Amino acid sequence: MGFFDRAHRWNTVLFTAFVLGLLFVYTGVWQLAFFAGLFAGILGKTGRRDFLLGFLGVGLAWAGHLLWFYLFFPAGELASLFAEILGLSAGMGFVVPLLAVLIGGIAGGLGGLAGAYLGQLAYPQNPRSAGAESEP
Amino acid sequence: MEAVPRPGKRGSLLTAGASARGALRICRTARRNLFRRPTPCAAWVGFVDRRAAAKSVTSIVVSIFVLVLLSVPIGILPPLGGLANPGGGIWGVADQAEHPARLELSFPELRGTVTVQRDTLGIPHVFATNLHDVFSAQGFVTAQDRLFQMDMLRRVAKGELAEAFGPTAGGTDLVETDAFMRTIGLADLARRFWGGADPTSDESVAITAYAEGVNAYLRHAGVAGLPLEFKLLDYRPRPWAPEDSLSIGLFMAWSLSGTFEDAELALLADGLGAAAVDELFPILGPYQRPVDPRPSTRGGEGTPLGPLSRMALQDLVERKRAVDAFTGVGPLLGSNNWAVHGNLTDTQKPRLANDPHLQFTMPAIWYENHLVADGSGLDAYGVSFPGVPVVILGQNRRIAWGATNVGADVVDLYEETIDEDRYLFNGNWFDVVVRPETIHVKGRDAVSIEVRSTIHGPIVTAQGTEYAMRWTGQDAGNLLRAFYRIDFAQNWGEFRTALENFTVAAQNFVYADVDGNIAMRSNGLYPLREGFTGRYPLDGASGAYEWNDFVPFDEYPESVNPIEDFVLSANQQPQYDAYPYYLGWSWDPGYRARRINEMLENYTAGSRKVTEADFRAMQLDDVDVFARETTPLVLQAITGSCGDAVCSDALASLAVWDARMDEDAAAPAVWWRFANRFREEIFGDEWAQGGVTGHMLPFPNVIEYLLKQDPASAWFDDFATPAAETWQDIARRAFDEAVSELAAELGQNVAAWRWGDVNVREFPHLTGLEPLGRGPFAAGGDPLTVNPAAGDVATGGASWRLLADLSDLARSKGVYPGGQSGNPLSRHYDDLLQLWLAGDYHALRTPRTAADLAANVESTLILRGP
Repeated sequence: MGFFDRAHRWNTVLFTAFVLGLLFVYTGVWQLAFFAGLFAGILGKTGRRDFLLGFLGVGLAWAGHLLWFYLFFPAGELASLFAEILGLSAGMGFVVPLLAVLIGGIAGGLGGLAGAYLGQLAYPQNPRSAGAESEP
Repeated sequence: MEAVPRPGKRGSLLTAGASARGALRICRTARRNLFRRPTPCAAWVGFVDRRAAAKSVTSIVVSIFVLVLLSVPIGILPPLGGLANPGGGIWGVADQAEHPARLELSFPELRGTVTVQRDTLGIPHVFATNLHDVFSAQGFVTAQDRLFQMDMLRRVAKGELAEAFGPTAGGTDLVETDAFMRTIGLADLARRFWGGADPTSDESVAITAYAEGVNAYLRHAGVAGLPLEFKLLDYRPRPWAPEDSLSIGLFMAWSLSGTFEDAELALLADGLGAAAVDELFPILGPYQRPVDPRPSTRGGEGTPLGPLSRMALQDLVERKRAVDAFTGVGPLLGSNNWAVHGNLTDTQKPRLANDPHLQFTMPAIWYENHLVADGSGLDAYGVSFPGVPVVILGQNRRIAWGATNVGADVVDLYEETIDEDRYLFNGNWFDVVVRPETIHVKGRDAVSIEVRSTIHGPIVTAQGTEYAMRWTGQDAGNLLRAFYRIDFAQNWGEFRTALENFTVAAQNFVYADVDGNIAMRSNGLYPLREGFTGRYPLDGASGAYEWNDFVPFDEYPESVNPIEDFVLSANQQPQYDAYPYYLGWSWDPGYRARRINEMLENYTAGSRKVTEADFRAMQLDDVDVFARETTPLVLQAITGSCGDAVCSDALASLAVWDARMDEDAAAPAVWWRFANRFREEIFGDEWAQGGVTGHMLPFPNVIEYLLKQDPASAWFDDFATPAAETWQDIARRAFDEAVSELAAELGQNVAAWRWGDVNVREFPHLTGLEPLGRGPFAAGGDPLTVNPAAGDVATGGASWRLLADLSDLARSKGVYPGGQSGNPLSRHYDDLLQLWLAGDYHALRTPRTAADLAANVESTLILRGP
């Protein structure tokens, strides 16, 4: 089975979403998170599963970036400050990174969903068919 | 088994026939032979799975909807997707909190290599090999630390706030604010001055180099490196233009001199009579210790013109107040500076102090820096306005200088005679000059306005009557030339020559040098008005009230090495009373100047020498001389009149009070509340009758004069009552009101009252976002003390404190309320504010080379030219 085959195992889709999500962050264009999920989703099986994998892949990628900020920069203070700016208490700062990961995850998840359906459209084999995963 | 699209149940054949089947066969062959994977051949030939297509379309539509929803602002919230993005959202602000320990960047516009060392307070020491590079680097490092503030300042000056904030902010109509600032025309003046400047002049090179530095930083920062505020407001700054620096300089000049007191005074004269205005708002106020203290005689007060348009003037006053509220041009608290000759100091060399009082903001209005250009003669240390090159206030290797605002009358209003698009001047009709302006408004359509001008300047109000404004800023020229040359000045002669280029707003420049000289000079353009004063709006049509010229430079008030061995200014009347020119009338009441004068006399009494500790104590002094002078009189009037314990206790606190506005004492709260109620009770009835309630009240020195010299004045009588009240009656009434108010606010126990409970200092952020601001902090002082506060909520005060030691300038000290960084996560966001609040200072480190600072370097930035 080649890398570009559809109906990869879940970890391939997750890995693709994660890596692309990680790389696309450096462009500064957050909407590319959707495309990270989309490309991963095209390799996937079903919409529901690929939504979840896109969500997890991109969400983890964003979480990884945020972890970097938390480890090496005052991201916690920033989150508390931003929470205050939003009218929450400083103690609610933890909501900010969660919200960020959620947004990245949703973008990636929707990308995964759309990718899966586009994949089905472009490669209209029955994704649930075992034969789809093997070559004669 | 191969996956082949099946027509019928799950799909449809959009194109049929042998050609399609043939194509499918070709596809299968190609797949096997080339890619060994299923290829989307069916799609190529138009075979589509309807269900998959529907899901795809639905998922894409939903995705687009969600992406758009997260990409657009919702209410006051900026786009959440962009903010959340780890690659360009708010998280980069954490990354930018501190400067890296070492950073090397290529900067093609430079001519050499610049080393910038930031010390442990984040203050950059810029070491360059030429003047171009030193100012480029200054622009770069200032943008690194204060980019948003720089952008805000130019937006305020140019009338571009609505573009960044939207139509309103904090209840202020920003379109109206922008329209007002464009009418004043600072950006237009800046363009004109820059267009007429010699591009090869030293100061033009500095301004251009500074802009290059800012733009180099913008390139370096990209979107990810922008400050938090840009991300919250969802916009990117435009490149920096040289005119932007001039616009900010003009805005500072406007904020220090742009008043419409002419309109207020005309309204007061209309309501109270010109004689009342002359008595209560004299040109030469009582109890003044002039900056130039020569003997005196009195001058005329001026006369208002005939009927005026109350509506137009009222409109003007109200518009200005609304604009000031947002742009930070508030009622000024004043400034202090003084210098003491070596004859009276412990070091036998001069000492100099300065604390200009400006609005408190986060970040602060000043940016501290040290500029060194090898071999050029530039080695200046001090504070600069973000967005403006050169050092504005500070010291170099031989001199130190500071400034306070003169408060001269440099704005006149002209009532114009206008017939549609023409105005009458000196018997002839001229076309009104029209300048179209477009105000961009975030989230709304742009608003077009027309700024109309006559020979006097822009028409600033047109409510029934049209008034044009003449301001010395219209003749300002390149404001930075003076400061550029001051930075290089080595002695009084060079300093004074540099001041020939200083135009607006007139400042009391204090000076001291290592050779032992001290000086004070009230310097700036003063209109030369012959046969009239500029106290009231003038007739614009007759040509009889024109500014013929400006007061000659050599006749500005000046004091050099005076016999007293000290010079001082605190916004008091600058000129001795016999001074031949009208300079203005809205002088500070003079209590700070009196207090500084008496402290200097006390500290130097006998053979005692003044020390740095004395200078510190002076800058932090909180004695209210008005209170000290009038409290004994008030106590006499009120004693025995109290009807309850709270009143008696409050009175008892005043009886033992030393007139210090100590934040922990009760008496200052009693005094200040009383003093305000007293003033309102004295004049409130006349103001109401004259229809001028809400307009300025007489200054405290006039009240002191009335109490001491004219205690039977009719002003004390409340004519709303049949009885004829004395000032004592009014004082008792005011005291009762004050005590009742305080009891309601602070409780019945007077011993527990603290001045700091009702008197605070606040440091609001430029955006008004509370989490980014600092304070409130309990404060001592009041508007009349050397260390001022507002007597309520102070959002202005000592914006920079300098203690210069001319025996060794490396021992000079300074501090300002804020921090070097505009990044709220930086340790340098408010570290200087903490020092300032504690009444402390930091040493002005003045290394001659980058190596000299080694032990105190926090970060190093190397900017390499080609």
